[in-house]
Amino acid sequence: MIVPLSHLLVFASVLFALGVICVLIWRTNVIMVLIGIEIMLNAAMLVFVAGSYQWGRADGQVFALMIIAMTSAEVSLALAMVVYLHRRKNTVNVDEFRQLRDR
Amino acid sequence: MKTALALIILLPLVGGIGNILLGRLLPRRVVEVTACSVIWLSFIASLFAAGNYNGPAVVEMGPWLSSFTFSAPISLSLDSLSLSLILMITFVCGLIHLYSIGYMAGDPGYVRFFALLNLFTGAMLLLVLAENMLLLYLGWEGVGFCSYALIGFWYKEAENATAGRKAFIVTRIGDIGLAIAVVWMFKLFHTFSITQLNQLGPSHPGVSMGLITALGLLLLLGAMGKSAQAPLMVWLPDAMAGPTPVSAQIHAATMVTAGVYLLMRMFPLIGGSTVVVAAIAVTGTFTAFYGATCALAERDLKRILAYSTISQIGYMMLAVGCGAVTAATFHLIIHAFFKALLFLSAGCVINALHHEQDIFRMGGLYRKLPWVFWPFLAGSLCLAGVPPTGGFFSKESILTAAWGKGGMFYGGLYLVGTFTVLLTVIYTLRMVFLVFGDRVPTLASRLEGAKASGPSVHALPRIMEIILIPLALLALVGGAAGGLLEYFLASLNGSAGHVRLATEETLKGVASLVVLAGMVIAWLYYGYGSQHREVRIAGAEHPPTRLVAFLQAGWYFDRLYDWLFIRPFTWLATILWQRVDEGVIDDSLDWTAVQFGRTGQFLGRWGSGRISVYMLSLVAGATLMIGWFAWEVL
Repeated sequence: MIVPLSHLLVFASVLFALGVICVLIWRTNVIMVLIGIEIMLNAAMLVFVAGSYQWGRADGQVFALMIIAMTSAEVSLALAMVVYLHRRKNTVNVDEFRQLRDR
Repeated sequence: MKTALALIILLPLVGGIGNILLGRLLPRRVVEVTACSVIWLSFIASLFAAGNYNGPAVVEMGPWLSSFTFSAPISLSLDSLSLSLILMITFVCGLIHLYSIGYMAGDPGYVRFFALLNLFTGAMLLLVLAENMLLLYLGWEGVGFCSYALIGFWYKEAENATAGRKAFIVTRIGDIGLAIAVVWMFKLFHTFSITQLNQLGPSHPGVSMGLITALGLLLLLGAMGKSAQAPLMVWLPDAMAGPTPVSAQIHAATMVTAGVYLLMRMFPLIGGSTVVVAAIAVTGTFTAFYGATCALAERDLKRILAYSTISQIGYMMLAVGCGAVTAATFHLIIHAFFKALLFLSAGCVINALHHEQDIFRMGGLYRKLPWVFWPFLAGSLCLAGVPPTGGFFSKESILTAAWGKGGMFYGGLYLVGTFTVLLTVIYTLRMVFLVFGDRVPTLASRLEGAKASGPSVHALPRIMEIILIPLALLALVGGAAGGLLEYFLASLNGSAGHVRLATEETLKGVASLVVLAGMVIAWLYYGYGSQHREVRIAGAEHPPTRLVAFLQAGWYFDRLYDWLFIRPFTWLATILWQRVDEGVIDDSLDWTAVQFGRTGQFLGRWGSGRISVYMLSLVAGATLMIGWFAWEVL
């Protein structure tokens, strides 16, 4: 393999960190939060695939496919909810939706 | 015999329980008749037992409590002492029950009253007939409970309920002594049977005279509580809060004699200890003197009688202390007759005068209530111990016994006892003169006109007056029974000293002279037409002098106990309640709860509903965990 496993892991970690930072910082937009989550999932998928290649077993790749399927379902649902939320409050700022707070 | 004994106890109990369960459904007359008839049937059973009596017998009715060596069967003992007592109790209680029909006419609580009265009698009969200490204790507590419920019979007035509680609590102090004694005796002798306890006595291995003394003193404590002896006598004057038939029953037959009876019963066991015997005699003499002095100043008719009971029971204790169990029994029975008589006729007087109890407001009643006057006079003469009456002989036999013991100690007790006889005569006749004697109209009352002839009187139920006659006869001629009783009870006597006939006659003469002197003094002070009488009556309107106030307050024993026990107790209870319970325990718990609440509220701010905060917390937490794992691994 041209790329060593450690490089892949570092890359995946960086990708995951970027996703986390995206979720934490860009909170004025729900869509950006969702994108951040997607990035984190992609980082995880990358680790699966890298592992699968490293040890020559198919499980990791199967799992990556599963994640792709699940993510597409999740995104479609989440985007529908975003549309709904936007209709209710005319905004996509995460902090505006605080109905679940204590009291 | 077995059936008769069982019936004696069961009839009143069944009558009482039946009235409790069904009394409210039955017409009034049925309840009254049931209550009276069970007692009279019990009397008939007692007569039957007396007829078939030939020597002491112990009858076992059935098992009660038993496990391994511990056994307390329901066994009854009939000997001369218990036989004479059950005859007296059933007879006097029967009369009191009949009297109650008249007295309680118009009272709505008659079912409760008659049921309790029956139970009271039943408990006392159980106490008297019991052959083992546990059964005796059962009767003892039953008597205590019934007296509590009956003294506070008119419980709607707080005063009466308090009097009931006072009686219960004070007698309970004595009961503790008895309870300890019972358990201790079982530990020492491994038996509850009274007969066996008396037989084993000090000769039992491992039982020293010191132990017997301790047991005797504990029993004396129990007797003090029940028989209202110093220092536990404070409950009896207050027990007058109950209906008059109850007072009569408590004083004459069922309650206060229980303590004396206990000591008589256990005398073979405890009589060997000189300390115990002396303590009993001193208690009795002091109480006799105390009661007489208080009665001398008291103004309430019923409380005078209560103090006289305290005093007379003191004589019985003195007799037991002198080893003269016969004399004590004799006085107990005579006392039952004349005290029941006095209480019942006092009840007539009080009822006739619309619940007036102050003797200084009475007077002239011998014209208005002749049927009450003559029995009352008979009872009073008997209480005063005027020679031909039963009271003279019984009291005389006690004093003779005290004299017969000899020595400085008993000689002193004899002197105090004789002096108390003098006091007894004075207070008794004072009561008679003030209640029944004519009032010479004073200037003030002459101006008022109508009131000069004394208070107005309303008619009494006939049955209340009829009851007095047999009791009066018994009180008067009871002395004749003395010789018979002495023969009958001869086996009971302890180490009573024997007195020569000449000495005995001299002592009788002395006693008669003392009584005569007392009569003269009472006549001078309170008799008709004497100047002093009017002065006394007029003086009664003024606040009492210090000595009189001291006597009226019962030597301030109530106040002393208030200072010694009640106030420290209240003080301690207040501290425990306000400082310890509310101050320390409650407050610390409250403080902890408040702090938890505050912390919770503070932490609750975290749940602000901002998703970004949640995310940040999640990431921070995950980072921490991962960091910690990494730290562990590296």
